[in-house]
Amino acid sequence: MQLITIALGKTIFALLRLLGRTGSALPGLVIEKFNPTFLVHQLARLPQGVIIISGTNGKTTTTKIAVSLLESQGLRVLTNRTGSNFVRGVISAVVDKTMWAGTLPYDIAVFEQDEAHAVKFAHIVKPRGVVALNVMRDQMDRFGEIDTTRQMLQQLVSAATEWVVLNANDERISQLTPDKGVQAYWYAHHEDLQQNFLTDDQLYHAESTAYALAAKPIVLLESYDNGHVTLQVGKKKQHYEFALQGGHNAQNLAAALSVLVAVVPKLDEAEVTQCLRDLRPAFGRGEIVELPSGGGLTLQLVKNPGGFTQALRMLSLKHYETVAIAINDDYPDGRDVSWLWDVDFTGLTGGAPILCGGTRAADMANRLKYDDVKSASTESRLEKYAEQLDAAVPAGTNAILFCTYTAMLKLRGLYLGNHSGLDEEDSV
Amino acid sequence: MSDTQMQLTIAHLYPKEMNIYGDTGNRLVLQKRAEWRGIKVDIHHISAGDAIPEGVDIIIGGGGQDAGQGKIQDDLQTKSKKLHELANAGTVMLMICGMYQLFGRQFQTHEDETIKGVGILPLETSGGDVRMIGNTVYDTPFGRIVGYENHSGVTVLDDTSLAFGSVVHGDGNNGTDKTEGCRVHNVFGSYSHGPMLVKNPEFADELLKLALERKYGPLTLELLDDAVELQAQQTAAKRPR
Repeated sequence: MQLITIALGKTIFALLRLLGRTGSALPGLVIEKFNPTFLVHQLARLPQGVIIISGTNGKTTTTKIAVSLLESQGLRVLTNRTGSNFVRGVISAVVDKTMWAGTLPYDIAVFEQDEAHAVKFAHIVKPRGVVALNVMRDQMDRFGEIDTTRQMLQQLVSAATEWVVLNANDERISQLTPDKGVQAYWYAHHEDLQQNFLTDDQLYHAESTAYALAAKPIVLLESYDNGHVTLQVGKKKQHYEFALQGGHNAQNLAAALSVLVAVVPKLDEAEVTQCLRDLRPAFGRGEIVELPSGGGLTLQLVKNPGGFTQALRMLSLKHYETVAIAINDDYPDGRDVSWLWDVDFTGLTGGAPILCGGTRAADMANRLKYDDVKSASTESRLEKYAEQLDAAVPAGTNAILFCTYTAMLKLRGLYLGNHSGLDEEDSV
Repeated sequence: MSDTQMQLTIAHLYPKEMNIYGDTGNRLVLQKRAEWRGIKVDIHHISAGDAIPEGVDIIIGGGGQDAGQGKIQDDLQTKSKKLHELANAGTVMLMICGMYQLFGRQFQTHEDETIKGVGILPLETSGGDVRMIGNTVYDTPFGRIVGYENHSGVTVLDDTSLAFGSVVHGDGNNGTDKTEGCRVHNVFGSYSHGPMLVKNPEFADELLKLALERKYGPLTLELLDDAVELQAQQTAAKRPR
C-alpha cells in the first residue's frame, strides 16, 4: 500500500511539473483520501522523529533557522515549504522526498504548523519535540479568541513525547504544561530588551509592562543590532553574525537554538557560526528583492498587531528612504482589518508619505491619517501599485514594504516572476 | 464656535479587559475629530476598580473575549447605578459587541451560565451555535454604517423599534429580524467592529455633536475633509462577506 501510494503521489507531481505547475497541495489532497495512514507510516521511519513549530508569529523563520542549524550539524532534515502548513502540504512534502522504493532519506523532520493545523497534525503524528513561540491576537475571524488559540497550543504541547521549547517571557506560553516526563527547555530575552518584546496583554493597556521570566532559560537573547546578535547558549556567551533583521528575528533565533540544544547533545560550534553567517531571510520575512528600477525592497510580512508593531521597530535599525504598506483582506490575510487600529503608527510621523496599496489601501491610509501620518497612494490594484512603488524608489536606495500575506505573494510574484516558489494553496 | 475653547471628557470603559477587535480606534477617532476642530479632549481609561470620572461626556466600550467578560461582570454591577444616572441624563455612550451585550439585561452563555448585564438597553442575549461573522452594511438614521461583525451571541430587543439600524448586508442582532444594535437616550449599542467609527464619520460626528450640545447648546460642527474615510467606506461596502 505504501509503495502504491508513493507511486501515485509521485506520478501526480510529475504530471504537475509537465504542466509547469509548482503547486504542492494536490498530491497531498489525493493521498489524504487514498491512504489516510500514509503520513504516520512514512514519518515513523525517521530515526530522530518529528518536531512541530507553532505559535502566532515567527513560525516560518524559526523553522528555517532550526532546519539550517540542524543541517549544519550533519543531520538530514525534512521540512515543509513556506505556507504549506496544512496536513496535506506536509503529505505532499513527504511524497516528494520519499524514494520510489519507499525509503525516506532523512534523519529528522521539522514542520511549521499554525495552531489549528498543528493540533490536527499532532493527532495523526506524535511529535518528539514541540516549539511554542507566542500567542498574539491574530485573525480572530478564523480561530475565535486568543484564549482558544492558547488552548490549541496546550493540546499540541501535551502531544510532545520527549521535549518542548517554550518562550519564558510570554505568560500565555509559560502556563502551558507538557506531559509528565517530558523535558521543558525555555528561551527568553534579557530584561534590558523588555520594551522591544511586549506580550499581547502588555500591548493593550496592561497595568504593567514589567519583565516576566517563567523559568531559567537554556538560551537567553542578550542584545542585537543590524547584523549581529549576542546570546547566552547554555553556559556560554555567543556572538554571531546574523543577517536577519529586527528583534523578532533575534528572538526566533533563540527559539531555534533551543531546538538545536534539545536535539544535538554535542555541538560543532564553528558550524553553527558559519551557518548563521550564511543564513538568508525566509520568503517575504525581511527578504530583500531588487526592484526593476534598481532600488532594494525589503518585503516584511505583517499579519497581526503584535507582529506589525515588532516589524515597525526594524525602521530604527536601518534607514529606509521609502516606506510602503500593502493590506489585502482575502481569507488568508483575515477579512477583518480592524486590527490595524491596534498598531501604533505615530513613529512614522514626519517621514516621507507612506505608499498604501492592496484591497484595503484606503483603510490603511485612513488609519495613518488618525496617527497624523501622511499617505501618498490608495491604489487597490496591486499591478498598478507595484509600478508606483518601483517608480517611487530611486536606484541605489532602500525601501521597505509591510504587507499582508496575499499582498506579499502577489507583489513578490510581480517583481520576481510568477514561478518564484509559490504553493498552489497560497496563490489565492 | 464660541470664544472659549470647548472641551470633552471621553472615558474608555475596560480598555484592557474588553478590547480585542481594534475598538480602541473608536476612541482615537472621536478624539482626533474633536481636536481637529480645536476642541480640547481629556481621555480616561476605566479599568475594573476605577471610578467613572465626574463630568464625563462620552463613554465607549468594546468587544472582549469570554475571559474578559468574566473579569468585568462584577465590577460592571458596581458601576450600574452611576451608568443608569448618566444614561438618563443623556450622556453619550457607544458600546460595541461584548459591552453592548452587557448593557442589556443579561447574557446567557452557551454553557447556560447567566451573566447579569446593567440593563440600560432593553434586550437580552443568548450564546448561539453559529458565529455571525463578516463584513456588514447597516442603514441607520445617521447614514450607512459599514463595518465588520464577529459574534455568536443572539440579541433580541424587547421592542424592535428601538433598533439602531437595519441590516443591509450581514446578520446584525440575531441574523433573523434584520435589526442591528439598539439606541436608548444617547446610549448606542452595536455589533459593528471595523472599528465602528473609523469609516463612518457622519456617525462619529453625530456622537460628538450630541455630547457637545448637552454642554454648549445647539451648534454646527465645522466640516472636515473626509475623502479617505468615505473611500474606505465605499471600498469596504463592496468587499465580500
